[in-house]
Amino acid sequence: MTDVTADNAAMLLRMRDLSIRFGDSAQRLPTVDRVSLDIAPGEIVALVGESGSGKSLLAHTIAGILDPAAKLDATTLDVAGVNVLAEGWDGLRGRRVGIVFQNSRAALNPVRKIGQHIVDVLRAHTDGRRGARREAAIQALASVRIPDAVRRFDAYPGELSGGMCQRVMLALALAGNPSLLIADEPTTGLDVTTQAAILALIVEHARARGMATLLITHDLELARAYAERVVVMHAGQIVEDASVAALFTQSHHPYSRLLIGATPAAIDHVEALTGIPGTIPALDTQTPACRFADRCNRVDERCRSTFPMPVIDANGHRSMCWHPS
Amino acid sequence: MSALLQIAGLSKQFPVGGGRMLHAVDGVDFELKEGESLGIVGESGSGKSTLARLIARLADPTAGAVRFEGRDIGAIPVRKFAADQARRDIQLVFQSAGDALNPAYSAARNIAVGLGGSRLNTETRALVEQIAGEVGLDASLLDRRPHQLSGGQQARVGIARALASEPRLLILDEPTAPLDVSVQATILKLIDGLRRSRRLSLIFVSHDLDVVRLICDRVMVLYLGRVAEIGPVDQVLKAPRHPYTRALIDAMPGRGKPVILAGEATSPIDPNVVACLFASRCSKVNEGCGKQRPPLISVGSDHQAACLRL
Repeated sequence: MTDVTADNAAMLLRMRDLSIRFGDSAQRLPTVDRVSLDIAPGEIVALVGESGSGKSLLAHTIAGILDPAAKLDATTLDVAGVNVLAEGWDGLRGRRVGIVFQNSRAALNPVRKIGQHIVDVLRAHTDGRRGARREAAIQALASVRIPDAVRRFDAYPGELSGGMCQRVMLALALAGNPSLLIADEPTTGLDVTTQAAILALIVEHARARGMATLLITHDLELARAYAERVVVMHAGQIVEDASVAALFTQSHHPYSRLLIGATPAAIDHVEALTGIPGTIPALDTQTPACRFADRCNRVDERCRSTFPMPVIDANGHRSMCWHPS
Repeated sequence: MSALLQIAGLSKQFPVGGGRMLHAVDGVDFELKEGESLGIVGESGSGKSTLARLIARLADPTAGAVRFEGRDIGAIPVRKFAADQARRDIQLVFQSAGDALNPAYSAARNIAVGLGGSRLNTETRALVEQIAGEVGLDASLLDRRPHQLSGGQQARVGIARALASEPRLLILDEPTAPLDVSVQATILKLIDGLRRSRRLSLIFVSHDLDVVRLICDRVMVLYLGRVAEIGPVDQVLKAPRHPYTRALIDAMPGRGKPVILAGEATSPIDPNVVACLFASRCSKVNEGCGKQRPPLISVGSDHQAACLRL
């Protein structure tokens, strides 16, 4: 496919035609299918789609956390300047790539003090004395606005609220000074007030250090508010990739339109809410059809016989549909 | 419209050891008219779910009254309430539909529980199928167990079970929290449609103000078990009077620059009864806030707020 941007070298994520397959059956379609995506320094890109669209799988793959049963195939995958297809992820994780998971309490060791979690990361990735690491860990906790960081260093995850655990998780991800942050539903299940605080922190770090961020969310309103670009995934494929302004005012793909129409914040009356017909298709039969065909109101014969190729307009707005609007 | 439900001074305290008490719901007053829908919003720990359980009479209040059609059902012990007529009139739809259904029962038997038993005969089967149709659940799914259903289908079974006893008041505790937006949209439309077709009164617990705006006539904002503000949903969202309501609205994505609440929430364990509980996080706090509990006062038509700095 065509390169979206001119300055490829500066991209903190460069991905071309990445596919992920499970199992040997030739019948089974790839779970993630020919995905291409770039993220520039300082850019916050939201990856949206329903459960099962493959967004977490894609995000974990970028961070080098891949299910051993999965088969990865790509023409290019450069993560934070490293060609991971050739060199692997060793030395990248925890340092140049940080990741924040959805359920942070489950990601923390319940019998280890929160400060020790950060010290572990610092020990793995930096030199320095023990006392200096403790100081640096307290600094890291304070940098994500954990009140009373000196005292909280000795707290256990169970003693902290969900929002505080998420801040610890963010401090861990940022401790290695990553140039790319993968945030996988970082605020799902948190209160709106805590959500706003966590996302403000991510934006702040992106701005201050030019950190690129991939924000995985199912909430389009969140994407609209915090990201510059939105990538829409359906059934393992990127169906649209556009600036926030373009996506919300003139989305090309019918799936993007339906997702926006299902978002309460975008709607005045409950009658105007629209569900999305059907469910994400099972990927167990080889078919040349558009994966959205069975759920689409614009579907015709061509959609069922030929796969839509990506189309990119002058503004870099990319979509995969035979009948874009 | 007359008051279907009157809540007066309703409180629930839980012992947390050492003689200390956690004040989960703390002196809540409000009225719900017949056919009205009230949203209850607030952060985790604000007492939303406990309040829902008190009204549904799944928990005994420590103090206060739950008057349903003028009768104080709050005084009936939970154990005896199951046999009371009001049990059928007030139904609760739980947050995680999947966990709230009996995993060993088929969808049909789970719905039949709402009819008063889980045994299916020709007559109850017909009733179950009729209710399933009403909530958009295909009859072919009725013989499946909950784990064989999607999240949206489980939510529909939960709603169908609650509707089976023909309730007049339906209490929904975050019914769409774990669902995708696309599924949430269909469930919200279903709830709104049922409300109209069955003339239901609704209490809708949610952390999402946008959802409350779409479903509810009025909204109540809870903070640490107390009512911070209550009023018509459009009015409260457009012109909030309590600083906490303001903060909640500003924290919604896309509302400009969110005001990050400074400080930490006061502990709900044995709180200071002569201070505003929001004072530790409030941008408008002054000396007076530490000396008096702000009473709920009228700030407009059918609109009240509890703040000394209005």
